[in-house]
This record gives sequence, C-alpha cells and structure tokens, in this order.
Amino acid sequence: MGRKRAVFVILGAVIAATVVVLGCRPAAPPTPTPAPAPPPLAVVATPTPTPAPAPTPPPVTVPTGVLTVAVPTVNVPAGTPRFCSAGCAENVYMVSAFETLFRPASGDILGEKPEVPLLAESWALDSAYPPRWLDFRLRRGIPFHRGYGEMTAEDVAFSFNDANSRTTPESIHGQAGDFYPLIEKVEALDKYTARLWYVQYDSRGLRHRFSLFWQTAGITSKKVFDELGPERMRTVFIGTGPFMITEYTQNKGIFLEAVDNHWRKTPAFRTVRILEVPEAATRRAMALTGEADIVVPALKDVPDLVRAGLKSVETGNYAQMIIFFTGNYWEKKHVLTGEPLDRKLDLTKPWVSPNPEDDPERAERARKIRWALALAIDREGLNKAILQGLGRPTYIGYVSIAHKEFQERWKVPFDPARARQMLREAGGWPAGVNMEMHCWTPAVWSELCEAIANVWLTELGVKTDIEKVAYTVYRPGLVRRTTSKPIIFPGDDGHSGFPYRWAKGFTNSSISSGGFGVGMEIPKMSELYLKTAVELDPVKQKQYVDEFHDYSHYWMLQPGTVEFPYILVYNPRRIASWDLLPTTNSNLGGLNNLESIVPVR
Amino acid sequence: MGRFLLRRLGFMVLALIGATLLVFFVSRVGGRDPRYLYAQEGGYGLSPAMWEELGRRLHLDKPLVVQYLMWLRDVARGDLGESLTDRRPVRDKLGERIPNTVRLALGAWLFATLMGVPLGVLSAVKRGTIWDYLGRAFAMMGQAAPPFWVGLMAIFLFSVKWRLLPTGTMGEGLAIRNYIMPSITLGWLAAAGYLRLTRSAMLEVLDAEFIKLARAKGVSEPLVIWKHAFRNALIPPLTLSALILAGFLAGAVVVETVFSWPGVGRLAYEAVMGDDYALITGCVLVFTAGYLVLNFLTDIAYAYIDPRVRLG
Amino acid sequence: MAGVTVARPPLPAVLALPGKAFATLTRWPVLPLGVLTLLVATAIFAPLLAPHDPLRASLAKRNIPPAWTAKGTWEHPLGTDPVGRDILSRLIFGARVSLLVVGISLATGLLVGTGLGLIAGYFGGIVDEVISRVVDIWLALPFIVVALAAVIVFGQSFGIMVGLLALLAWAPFVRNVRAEVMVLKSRDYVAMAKVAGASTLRILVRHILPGVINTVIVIATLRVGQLILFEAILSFLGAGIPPPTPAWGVMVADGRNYVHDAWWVSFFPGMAIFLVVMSLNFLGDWIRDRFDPRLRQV
Repeated sequence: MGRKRAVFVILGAVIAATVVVLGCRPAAPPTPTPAPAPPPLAVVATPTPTPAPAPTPPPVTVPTGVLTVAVPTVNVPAGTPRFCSAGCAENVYMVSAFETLFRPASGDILGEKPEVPLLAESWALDSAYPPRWLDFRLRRGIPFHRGYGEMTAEDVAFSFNDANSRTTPESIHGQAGDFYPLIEKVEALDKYTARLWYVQYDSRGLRHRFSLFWQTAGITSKKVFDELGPERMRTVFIGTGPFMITEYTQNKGIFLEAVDNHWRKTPAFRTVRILEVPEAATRRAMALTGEADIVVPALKDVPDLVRAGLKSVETGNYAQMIIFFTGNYWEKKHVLTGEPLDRKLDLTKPWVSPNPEDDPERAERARKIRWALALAIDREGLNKAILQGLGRPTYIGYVSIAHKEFQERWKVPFDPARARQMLREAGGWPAGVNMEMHCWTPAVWSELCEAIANVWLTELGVKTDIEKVAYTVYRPGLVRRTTSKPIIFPGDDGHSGFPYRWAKGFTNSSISSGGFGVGMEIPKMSELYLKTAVELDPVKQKQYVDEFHDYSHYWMLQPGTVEFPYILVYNPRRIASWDLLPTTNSNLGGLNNLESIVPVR
Repeated sequence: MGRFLLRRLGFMVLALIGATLLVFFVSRVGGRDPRYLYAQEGGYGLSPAMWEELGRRLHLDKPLVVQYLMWLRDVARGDLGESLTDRRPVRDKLGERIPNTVRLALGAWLFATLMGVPLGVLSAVKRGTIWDYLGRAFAMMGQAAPPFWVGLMAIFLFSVKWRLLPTGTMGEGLAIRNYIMPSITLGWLAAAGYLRLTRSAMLEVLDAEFIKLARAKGVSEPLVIWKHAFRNALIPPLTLSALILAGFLAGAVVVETVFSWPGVGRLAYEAVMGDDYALITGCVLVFTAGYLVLNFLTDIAYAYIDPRVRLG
Repeated sequence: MAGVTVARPPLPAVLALPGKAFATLTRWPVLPLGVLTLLVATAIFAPLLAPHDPLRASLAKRNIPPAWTAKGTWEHPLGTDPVGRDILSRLIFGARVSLLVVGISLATGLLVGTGLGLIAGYFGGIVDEVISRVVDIWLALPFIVVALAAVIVFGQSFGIMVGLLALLAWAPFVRNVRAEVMVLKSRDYVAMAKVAGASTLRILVRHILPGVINTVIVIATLRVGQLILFEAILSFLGAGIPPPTPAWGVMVADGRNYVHDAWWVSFFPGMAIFLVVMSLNFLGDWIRDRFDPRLRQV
C-alpha cells in the first residue's frame, strides 16, 4: 500500500507544482539602470543668433493618458550604438526617443524642400572638390534624458563613430556597413561643432544619411558609454527626444514615457505602449475594438478598417517589388581597385547575358528573354488583386511613376503577344531549364510571386521554380556574387521616396563587392554611380540618372512589378491629428513623430 | 539499480554528443562559411582584415573536428556561443524562452491529465456503451488531427468569429485566456495517449482477482472503481508522463509558431529560418537534453516500480 | 443483496440503434477502408476528377468562398485560394502528392529498417549494440528541428522530403523487427537449418523473414498516418515541397493569413489530412488487434 500512496503523493505534488510554476510571474524584464532623479531642466534661451528658425517655445502642456500601438515586429534592442542592429537603429529615433541631426519637412515626400534642422541647426560643406568634410553646427542647451547633461559635438561624434564599422570594426549597427564607405570619422571641433570627414563624398547629402527620412544614427550620450561600458549600455537608452524609453524588449514591445517640458515639443500622451502583435488578424481586431489606438494593418485589411470609421495615413514612400535578374556579372575588374574579379557567368540560365562587348549576340538573346518576361506581367491586375488597388505599378527598378522626372518611354505594357514574339526572336525558351525565383515569405509577396509565375506559365509556357525558404541562406549568394537565381524584393534602392537625383547603382556594381549586392555587376551602372555620387550640379545629376534608367530599361535587368505603400491606421475618436513625417523607413510601419499627435479631449 | 542507472546516464551523454555532432556538421556542409552571414546591408562588407579576424574568432581556420571539440569545451563551461542575429549569448536567449515553453508544456499536461485520465476511467467503466466510443473517438481525433490545423481553426472560431479568446502570444503576467487554446492544441495528442492507456489499464485491473473479491465482499461499486481499481490503473499513465512531456518539446515548434508563443520551439524555428547556426545548435542541445532527461526520469520511475528492472 | 447488479429497465430499441451501428462500425473498419479507397482512387484518377487545372491561377478569382455560401459558385465547389486556384482540384492532386511521398518514403524506411533489424537481431553482439545505440540516439533528436535545418542546407524538393520522411520511418522497424528476430532465431527450425548447413543469407531470407512480415505490416500501417502528419507539418512550416505543387500541408499554410476572411483555404486541406490520418490509425489498430496483439502499447 505504501507504494501506491507514494504514487498519489507524487501526482499531487506534481499538480501542485504545476499550478505554482504557472502562477509565477515571468522574470521582470531588464530595466534601465536606475538613474538619479533628473534635475529640473533648465530651459536655456539660445544666446547666439542662428541661421535656422529658433524653435517656438513649446506650449505648456502636462502629458496625460496612454497611447497604444500595435506593430508586427519589435526588433532586438541595444542602447549601445555598436550593438543596435538593423531595426533597432531606426526604431530609436522613429519612436522619438533619440533625435537625429535633421528631419524632413512635413509632407515633403519628394524632397523638394531642404531638410529641417533638428539637433543640428546648420551645416557647412568643404569648398574643395570633391569635398573632404562636412560640418554640423549643433543646437545648444539640449539635455539628454535622466540628467546626462547637455548634448555636445562629442556625443554626435561618439554616436556616429561607435556605429561606423570603419571606426568600430565590431559594430553591428544597422548602418555600420553604410557608413563604412562614406565616413572616415566624426570629430568634435569644438563644443558645438562636429566635423565629419568623408572617405568618399556622396552627393545624396543630408536626407540620405543624416535625417529621420532614411537611415542614420540617433544621437546618444557619450557619458553613458564612459560610465557603463558597451555591454551595460545595451539596456540603457539615453536620447534627447520627447519620449524616454522605459522598456524595450524584443518580441514584446517598446514602452515610452513623455519628457516634461521638452526643448522642442512636449507630447500630449504620458505613456506610449508599442506592442508586438505578429498576427495581422489580431492587430485588425485590436483596431476595431479600440484596444489599440494605432495599428500597422495588413494591406488587405485597410479598406475594411477605413470603412469601419478608422483613419488611414501613409508615410508617402512606396517600396518597389523589383525582379532582379541576378547572374549578370559583366565586370571583369573591380571598378575602384582594378583587381581582377573572379565571377562565373552561368550562361545556361536564359536570363543571364554575357558582357555585351564580349558576345553581343548572346547578350541580345538574353535581353529579349528578360524583356519577354517583363512584358508578361500584369502590373495593374496585380495591384488591384493583391494590393487592393492601394499600390502602384512599377516599370523599372529605382524610379517610380510618382517621380516628376519619370519618362513615359520607361513604361512597360502588359503585352503577352509581344512577349511571346520576343521569346520567339530569342530562339525560344531553352528546354529542360526552368525559370527560378526567390520570394520573400510574408503573405503578400508569396502571392505576388505565385501570381507572376502563373502568368508566365499560362502566357509563355515557362515554368518557374519558386524558392521561399530562408532569405538568410540565399543572401550570401548575393554577397559573394555567386547566385544566378533571380529575386524579387526592393533591394537597397527600390523606394519611391528616394529623390530622383540620388546616385543609383551602388549595389549593381563591383564597388560593393564583399558586401551586399543585387546579384549583378554592370560596368555602365558603376560608371554612372560614381559620376553622380560626386556631382554637385543637380542638372548634371539628373542627366546621369536619366542615362541610368535608359540603360536599365533597354537591358531590362531589373523590371518592376508593383510598389506598395506603408499605411498606418488610427482611431479618430482618440486622435484628432497626427503629423506623420515622410520617411522611407519601414520599421514599426513607418510611424514617427508621435509627439505631434493631438488627442481628442 | 545503480549500475542500470549509470548505464542510462552514460547513454545520455553519448546521445547528446551524437546529436550535436550531427547538427554541427550539417551546418557546415557544402563549405558554408558562416562569415558570409556577417556581411551587412550597405557598404563594402567585411574588409580582408576583419574577415581573417572573424575567422580566427570563430576558429574557422582549424579542422572541423577541432572546431567541434572546442565547441564542446565551451559548452562544458556554459558558453553556447553568440547568436548571429544580435550577437547576444545563446545561453541568454535560451534562458529567456525556456520558461515560456515549460509553462506551455505544463498547461498542456494539465489538460491532458485532467481530460485524458478521467475519460479513460469512464471509458473503461462504461465499456461498450456510447461513452466508451465517445471517449475513444476523442482519442482517435487527437492522434489524427494536425496540430497546426487545429490551432488555426481554433483561432478562427474562438478569436476571430466569436471573439472569446485572444489570437495568440503569451499575454502579460498570467493571462489564463492565452493559455487555453495553445494548451489544448498541444495537449490533445497526449490526452489521447493518457485516455487509451488509462482505459486499458483500468480494464485489466477491473478484471483482476482482488476486484472480484471486493465486489463479492459487498463493497459499493463507486468505491470499487475509485479506491481499488483506479489507484492501480494510474501507474502506467504516470510513468508515461515523462515521455509525454518529452513529446511536447517536438509539438511545441508547431504550436508556438501558430500562436506566436515566445517559447524555445519558436526560437528554434526562427533560428533555422535565419540560418543562425549557433542558435540552432543550442536549441538542438536543449531539446535533446530535455528529451533524454525525461527519458531518464521514466527509467527511474520504471525501475522503482518494477522490481525486475531494479535487480537486473 | 449486495454484489448483485439490479437490472435496469430496458431502453427503447430505437435508442440502442446508434450504439449497435457504432458497434458494427468499430468492429469492422468499414469507414476507414472507405476513406482510404477514396483516397487511392482520387490519387489515381486525379486528372479525370479535378474540375480545373490545380496550377492555374487567376487574379480575378481570388478567395472565392465555397459554393454553398452567398458569394460562392459551383464552378469552384470548395472555393479558391488567395492566388485564384481551385481548391477542390488542388485537394485532388494533393492526394496524389501525399500518397507518392508517403509511399516512397515508407517503402524506403521499411526496407532499410527491416534489413537493419534483421542484422541486429540475428547477429547480436557488437553489431546489435551499435545499431541499437544509433537508433536510440536518432530517436532522441528533435526531428522537426533537424528536418528544418536539413531543408535549409539541402534545399526544398520532392526528393528531400521523401528522404526526410524515410529517415523518420526507419527506426521503429529496426526495433520491432529486431525483437521479433531474437525470438525467432532460437526456434527449432532455425537450429535445424543451421545444422543442415544452410548459409546465413538463406536462413535469414527463407526462415526468419517470413516470420517477421506480420510485424512489419503492422508497424507500417501504424506509421503511415504519422508520416502524412509529418509531411503536413513540415510543409506548413515552410520546408515542404516547393510551390506550385499542391500539397495539403502547404495549402493549410497558404490560408494562414486569411483565417479571418477566407477560412475555407485552410479548412478543407486540414480536414482531408485529418480524415486520412484518422482512417489510417484506425485501420492500423484493427490490423494490429487482428494479427499481433502483442504489439499493443497505446
């Protein structure tokens, strides 16, 4: 009998333990280092006259209330710039915890107005050609959170240098690789002037790497780094923005608290909860029930949500889904160093051309095949069916019909008959070889891929092998320039928000060899990129970019399909207005400028 | 018994080495150089100096076997390497997620036990009636229904259509409502196992001599069932519990993905999809170790209960 | 008197009917055999049965609900998927894919597993130890994680899927065949064959193998369901047979983001998997009960 009793005792104990364990609260997430109570903020009136308009004294408001936002992903956080990888790097300033040197003007999606000074109040460029440095003159009297003192040029220098893989080799900052070819280092000339030394001047200017509009480094405090060291700084987020990060946990959310009497704009809401909610259906439900005030909806849910009375707002940028016909490695020598390149051209793939100078006939054949494939894409149909009509057709990569400079001649019609003819002219699709495509897995892209593959099958008789598995496994093929499998994604430059005159083709070139590329190296594109990047005259810039697109159009190396907007949806019963600034960042759905939200009271 | 357990322990270690060896080598197949995963967006990528440095740090210059041994040595010291995606120690990432999977597993186990065992008893006692067949149908369905489908349909019915339960995630604090669907989805298969085992154990016991004796002595039927039969019938399912918990580890991958549960199953899935080989190896280690430990506990339980094993 | 069960009043005969029907249905595997026959027939005659081409998509016809609902049409009885393909046709061709994949992998696993089991059981000693340990270690691995990792490394394809499922299938054969062989090899007729000078191969094939076949059949039928389930799980997780080939697991995954407004995309393929696996399990149990009750565990 004793044994049986023992059995019962064990069973009872296990059930009791179960209940106890389930009842345990999960371990408290790492909290930022407890800081001393921030000293009363001294509002410093700026004594020196500044070229930029002085910020209007913020109206005295006391933040109250809670704002809830539902987003699909919250990436890995790190307070130290060198550990703040892609996702984190932009999040910190998108949520207005850190600030950037400049920001775009409201509604200025096409970049027609100059960038508005934010932490920098003015700038100056070296008058030599090509320019070797860029100076930022900083605003004075801007305090960091939690009493970490005034922002100075030292902090700006630190924020960039710690992120830049040139100055901090182990940096995995989201822009570590982007800063490397651009910035030699940033140094503090004096307390309020920071000088950036160029490795290679880039005419894309402020909007490119120093503004909230795209990817830059948020400014954080060097004192924190000195005090805590890089590892302990991971969990401490100290910026100058209108919100303070009180918690930032991957897969859970970002929690913000308003900064009273902020130097620029005190928010209306006391607390902001940005929650990670991976399922679009849940986010949709939260929007409809009011559980969330702002959500990042799946595109297909937007019409329903708007019909239900919610308001939609977009960042203005459309990401382009471009088919990159990888495998076209035409360059034989590295454009900058002259080193010979070891590339294998897989000519069994019908979309791969040899360098036209080497073998014009074969190159032409592959060109016709690429054209045939591009002509057999029903862009309008795809937009209506898959994007609910909320997107736009895209004809060639890197230029959008929204650009004023777009030329009609770049349009590619949906013409299956002509596509078949071009296929015939090229000698037909070779037997035994299938078209290949790597697709991203998120729902909409997977459908886009399958829809395109289907039209190719029905109109051209071409079968497509679609690969949906792990982009991270495919990507090394792009980096090493070994892949010949086309991929459909925006690449680095496929954003309609990028100003037309920006130098394009960095990733289509051997210049980026060793790093990310789009699977092709085209001599003409390299040449045009290099020319545009150092060109200061906007008229010439436009000329080069026109040439780039004409070339890309003729050779049809990267046809577009559709471009899709980043739309956010909010509850008009809680939010009266929101000045969502134009941005090309897609993090958190593109949300930014939360401090501008005017609540319905 | 001591020797028996020692042998089992030895086997555990062997199995762990075998499992990690397999994963380690699979991740290096085809000359896949993990350094390519370090190349970031933008820029010129890694400079040749950095390339070498990274190679040295990851011990890539040494032969594979040596690399594996060095990894073993690190593991013995508690260092599972750094995750590729965010350079955080794998140990930390696993540590964060394991409790969540444990919670889910316990929830599923509770469901399995509280549904499976009583239904098994019912099925046995009311053998041949509609209750028996309903119980066995429940078990059959649990063993046949694809867990991801059950999960999705449950989300559709209970979250989307009827708005009764949340669609996923673990919720904050102890959100019981978030546990319901994932626990049932994960536990249904186990409930089926418990049901059938309890049923057959009960049937055997109810036929036993001492039960007939009790009935002949005039003990009331409920007392016969619960006091005498049930306690004996409980032993097989109890000893199966460890194995069932081990089975949850595998099922967790699917259930956690469907319900966006922040557990180690979903971590493993994301690790594989992200080709984060350090994290993958760490997850395999955890899963295998968990399975083996639970097996070991089962062996102990059997040894305790069955004297033949003890003395053998 | 205590111990005597008081007779209950007899139930009306009608109410006993469901119980009787149930009893009949559970004694003979009528339903499962029916389902499985339907499955095989569908797979064989797929091109004749399917109303549409399973690969043909149409942007205009996305997410049409099943025929009996308001916006449905009998042209697509079970509706269409998010790319505009007919679900019924994909279901039918998916049967073919499932059967092929599972059939081939089961056959491979069966051959390899039985072979190893024969060797391990007959020769014993170190050979047995090694084989048994390998099987034990193999069973300790988290199969799903390893399978996913293998797909990432080796790519997605029909062949890879078959290989993975074969790896899943082989282990139970080894164990049970080994146990069976160890019993059989001590039988008289084996001893006599040895004395008569028969070669090892001859003994294995002519004397031991026939005794093992029963076990093999039972194990096979018990495991088929598990194989189908695993194929579906791997497909769902994205490691399955690449598109556009219709596979039931992939079809459920396709509908995952449309659970709200296009529930039918996931429902029907999942239901198909469910019915088939349940039938196979039922059939497996029945065969086991008939042929080899010793194998009864759960």
